[in-house]
Amino acid sequence: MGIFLLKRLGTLLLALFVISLISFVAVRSVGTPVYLMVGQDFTSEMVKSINARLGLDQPIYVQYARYLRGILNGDLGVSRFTYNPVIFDIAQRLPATIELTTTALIFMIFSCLLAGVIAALKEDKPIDKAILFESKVGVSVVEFWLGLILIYFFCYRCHLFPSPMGRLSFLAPIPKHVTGLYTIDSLIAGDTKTFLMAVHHLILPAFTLAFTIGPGTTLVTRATLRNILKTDYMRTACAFGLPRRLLYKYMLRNAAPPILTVLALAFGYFISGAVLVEVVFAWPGIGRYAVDALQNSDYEPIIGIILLVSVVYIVIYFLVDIICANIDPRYRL
Amino acid sequence: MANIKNIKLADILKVRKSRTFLRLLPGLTFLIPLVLIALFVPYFPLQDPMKVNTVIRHQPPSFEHFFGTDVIGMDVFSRVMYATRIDFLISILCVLIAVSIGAPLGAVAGYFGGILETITSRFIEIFQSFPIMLFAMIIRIVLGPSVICLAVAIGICISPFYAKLVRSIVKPLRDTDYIQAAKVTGQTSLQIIFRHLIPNALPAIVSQFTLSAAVSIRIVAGLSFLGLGVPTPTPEWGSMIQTGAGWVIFGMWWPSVFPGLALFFTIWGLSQISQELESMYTL
Repeated sequence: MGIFLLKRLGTLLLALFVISLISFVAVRSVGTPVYLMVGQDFTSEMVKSINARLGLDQPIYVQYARYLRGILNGDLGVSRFTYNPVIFDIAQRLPATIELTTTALIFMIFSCLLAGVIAALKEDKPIDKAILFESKVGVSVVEFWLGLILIYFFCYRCHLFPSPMGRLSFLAPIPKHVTGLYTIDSLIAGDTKTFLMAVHHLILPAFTLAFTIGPGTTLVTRATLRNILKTDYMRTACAFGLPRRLLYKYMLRNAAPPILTVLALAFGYFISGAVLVEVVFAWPGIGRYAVDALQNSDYEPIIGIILLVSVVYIVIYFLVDIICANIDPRYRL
Repeated sequence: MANIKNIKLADILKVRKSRTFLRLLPGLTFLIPLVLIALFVPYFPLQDPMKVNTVIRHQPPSFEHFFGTDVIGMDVFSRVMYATRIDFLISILCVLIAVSIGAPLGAVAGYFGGILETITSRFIEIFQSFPIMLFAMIIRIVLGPSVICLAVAIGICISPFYAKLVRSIVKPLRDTDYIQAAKVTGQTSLQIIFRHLIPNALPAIVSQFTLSAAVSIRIVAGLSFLGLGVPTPTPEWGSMIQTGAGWVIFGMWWPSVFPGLALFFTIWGLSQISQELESMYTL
């Protein structure tokens, strides 16, 4: 277990190093603000002095070291259209994205994971075929298009759900800031009206995310459990007449590593799919921040967000690997 | 010589399953019309897809404009048809680039082994552990705005999958007799890789073509929706959905819904075929 941990830690550090390299290359390749700072009538001495001040005339590895030190201190650059440090903007918008992805994850676990289990247990029956069909539809549907269709039907036609203007209605009071998640904050403040409104606004975007990204989980869960149900040890356990709950325990423990891995993958897809869903539903999260930055030709926030999201994703993947290795010793090879 | 009447689709595709054409039919019913549209759309009697006519903007579907007109008066039906060409072209390019980057990498990693294999597999794992959409975004930002750069960006994102696939096929083949014999008779490693090893991996690669095409069409649509894809006047399903997106809450659903339907049918057909191909090529 110790050697496996060390090896995975080594891969983690290598992956973080590679991402920082990629984002450094990206930051340098989109250009430097030198000519912006210098203005229209410039001399070469002015350009040289600004280069020296920004540290741009030093060798590339020194520049990379400075960039790395800046990142580790939390300096991801300054956004050109909000005039804030990127890290400040991200901290402001992160709770919204966390709320959305967590709700989508909960939706997904209770619908797609459960559907995968049911489809595996009731193999080749009509319910299995129905779940397979629904998974195929979910794979083929594009998330932003599904969001638009849901908005059209439920907001414009049926008026069941609120129009996509963000996390709360236009003039609603924002609950006192404890965690930044409106649902939890309004519960802490005891304000059920705001809580219901926040949940009401959350349902459509979270459903869109879960419907388009869930099928991967359903199919992997179904395939894993089907394989496990056909193994010798499950057949022996059934033949011994073990009680149901012990059978489920054996099934779950063997199925846990692939399912956890695919849940981690799904979380990664949520983060990248949340970009598109946030744009459609005008959700003020980091995905929409990236898109706004893009439309203002401001590349520092985008690269900062990609760096942050990739780091989070890789760390989650690493933690899931450690958990899987804990559960299933065969994983440590 | 085999009688030409006895050659079946299964022989052409080199699989050993029965009723090959019938199994592929559900996916092909969606895909063949789309491919025909992509190939022959300039000859159809359609309206001009780039003609801006603000007098007739925001018109609902009618007999003159089958899918209606969008916010600046362009006919949605002809734009959806013409967008088929661009999307299919980009996805084919992406898959070709992904295979040509990934397959040799995987073969080299599997054949040479040792430290080369370790380094290559570490890199493959790292590149596979990024969320695809963000990876494509960052490469596209670095490379620039043209269509070829878009295809290269997405191809780079998909190539780790092919590298891993080819490596897993090539690795056990390293110790077989005929490869050892080829080495002994003096064939260079390059010849061995391209003449013996990669043809062994071809069935698996081909079975994943349509799945990669589906994935790349989704990524292209997503990137175009964000504005990072195909430049604007060119019709493309993702960017059409984006231009129509702001108008859906006002009741104008047709500029966004029809391109999305086209996307749905394309990805559905491709994933149906890919499921069948995968089950045919695995033992």
